[in-house]
Amino acid sequence: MNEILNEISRRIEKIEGENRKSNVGKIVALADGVARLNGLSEAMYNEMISFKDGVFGIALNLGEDEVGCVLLGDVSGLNEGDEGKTTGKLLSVPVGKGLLGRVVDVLGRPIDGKGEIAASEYYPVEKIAPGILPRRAVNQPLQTGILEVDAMIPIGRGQRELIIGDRCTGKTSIALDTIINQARINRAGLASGDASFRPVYSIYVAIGQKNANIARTIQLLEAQNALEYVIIVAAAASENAANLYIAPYSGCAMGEWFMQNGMDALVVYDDLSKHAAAYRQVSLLLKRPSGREAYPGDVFYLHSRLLERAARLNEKSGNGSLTALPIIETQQGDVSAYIPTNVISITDGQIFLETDLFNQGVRPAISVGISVSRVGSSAQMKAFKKVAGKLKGEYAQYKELAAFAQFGSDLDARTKAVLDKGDRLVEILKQKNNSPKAAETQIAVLWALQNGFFDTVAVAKISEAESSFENFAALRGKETLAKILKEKNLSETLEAELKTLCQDWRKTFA
Amino acid sequence: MNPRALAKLLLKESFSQDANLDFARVSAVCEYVDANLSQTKKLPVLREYLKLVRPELSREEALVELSGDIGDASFEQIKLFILRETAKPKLRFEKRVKKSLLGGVRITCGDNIWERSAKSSLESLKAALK
Repeated sequence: MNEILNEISRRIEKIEGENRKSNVGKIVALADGVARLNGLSEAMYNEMISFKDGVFGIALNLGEDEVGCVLLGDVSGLNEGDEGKTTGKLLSVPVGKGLLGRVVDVLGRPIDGKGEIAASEYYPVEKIAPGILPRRAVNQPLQTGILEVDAMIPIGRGQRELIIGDRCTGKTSIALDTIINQARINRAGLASGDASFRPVYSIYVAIGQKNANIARTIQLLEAQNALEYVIIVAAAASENAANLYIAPYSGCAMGEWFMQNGMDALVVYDDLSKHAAAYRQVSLLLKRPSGREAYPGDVFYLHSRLLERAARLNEKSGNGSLTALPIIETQQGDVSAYIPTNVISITDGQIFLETDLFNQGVRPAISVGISVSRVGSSAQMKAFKKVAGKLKGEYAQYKELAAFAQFGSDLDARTKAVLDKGDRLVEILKQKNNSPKAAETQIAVLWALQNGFFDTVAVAKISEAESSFENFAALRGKETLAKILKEKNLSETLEAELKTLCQDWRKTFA
Repeated sequence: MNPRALAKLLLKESFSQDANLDFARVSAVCEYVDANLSQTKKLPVLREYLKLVRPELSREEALVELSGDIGDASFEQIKLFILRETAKPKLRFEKRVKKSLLGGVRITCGDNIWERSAKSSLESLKAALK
């Protein structure tokens, strides 16, 4: 069979070699990373156009007698009158496991100084999202390691969950904690030798961020031993708008490879506000008509076609998944602005972060009331559902009562009890940066809270009590925790074991 | 009607039966513009017309660049190749010697280029090694 394939390949190569045809155009205008060329009558939409010195562009505007092209890379060597050639290829990036642990630019070229990347496969950056038939409903959890998220806003593999909030409210931290937690789970799962274990590989796409911030992210992931399961696609603020525009699609293509090959991947787009701004810049330079907030008319499609590529595939299609965590930065908490409303409507839920909560010391500063996960609950572990099912309602009730309670001091016993429990819940949900918790530990903590084991602890001491309980459970309740993870449900025997564990811990904690 | 749209209409009238630009028709178009349009409109229309005619003319001409002189039989073969590739019944051919090709041939017809020269092979190699 190989001989037959080789023979056909030889023939193709011969014909290609004999007939080196290219369609060319000349640059008539060049400015701000955008070139307009005449000629190129055979250029295809989104086709790569090759210029001198290895510069590539993408044909984005196909006019009657002119082609508008965004340029990628260093364009300082290009001049008016230079030739641009069609390549017959769509912009593609290298994909595969060879990219794990590496930092690459938008074209998949390494920028971390660790040498070349051996990639055997290339995926087009722009690809049509999987249709209806190969998809299935989200049914497997993606543990973020953040108690508040895993308990009240659960995320499933294949889901699109938006992280939204003002600047400096901890949006990136939530995404990075999730990546770190995946690495922790991967390491434990692969070491256990469990054949059914499915690791989650992460792709972090930095769009328009400061180089210093990107460097800090890399250092953090390295320090947390998470980099080996992560690909970082960096399009820094110093790069031209075309690179920023392409970056999320490149990252998505890298994630899609895992999904198409029956694996699970997580992609973080940090952030899509800057991505929309970059696209606005490109569009205005291409002289496309502008609409609301000067964004072009297809800015919704810009994000919908990207986020629709995140999916959970069915068994027939390989059972892979691509989870997307897009990030949007709001101005003064305004979620009704153009880009936030667009992305909210595209995604399967949002984690909303509030500046006020952040300033009050509530971290992660998640506003539970307006945060939601539309599909994640069907993927949540049964044990989690048992202990956290009523949590969101209780939290909302507490918030409402707390708002009224500040106007008066005379409260009835029932209100006081709700407030006391709420205060404790708020403290329990506080979590330090870069310290994701295992699902079984989270379940044990919530079970202890729901069963009144924290009721006699002063509110100020809750954090201390929580870490004491976690340490105690890790030492003395190892088997119980392992059973929770294995059974994924809380049976009567398991609840009895948890009760004994809590009672034993309570004796040690004064 | 804006100058661009009018120039497009005029261009349509400039082709002969064999879909090539016809000198007599182009002259007639220019005379029509001169006689019928106002002084302020004439110039922009003729400029737009020129812009549209230029690429059309380049499509009717094939420039064959060679690294050295070749015999008539070989040149005829190249002509046949171009006519087949462009699917045009009639083309004007121009032959030029270009030493910088370092061996081989480069054919330009409109915005299409067929190149099989040592220079382009070396350039591809250079790009691949970058």
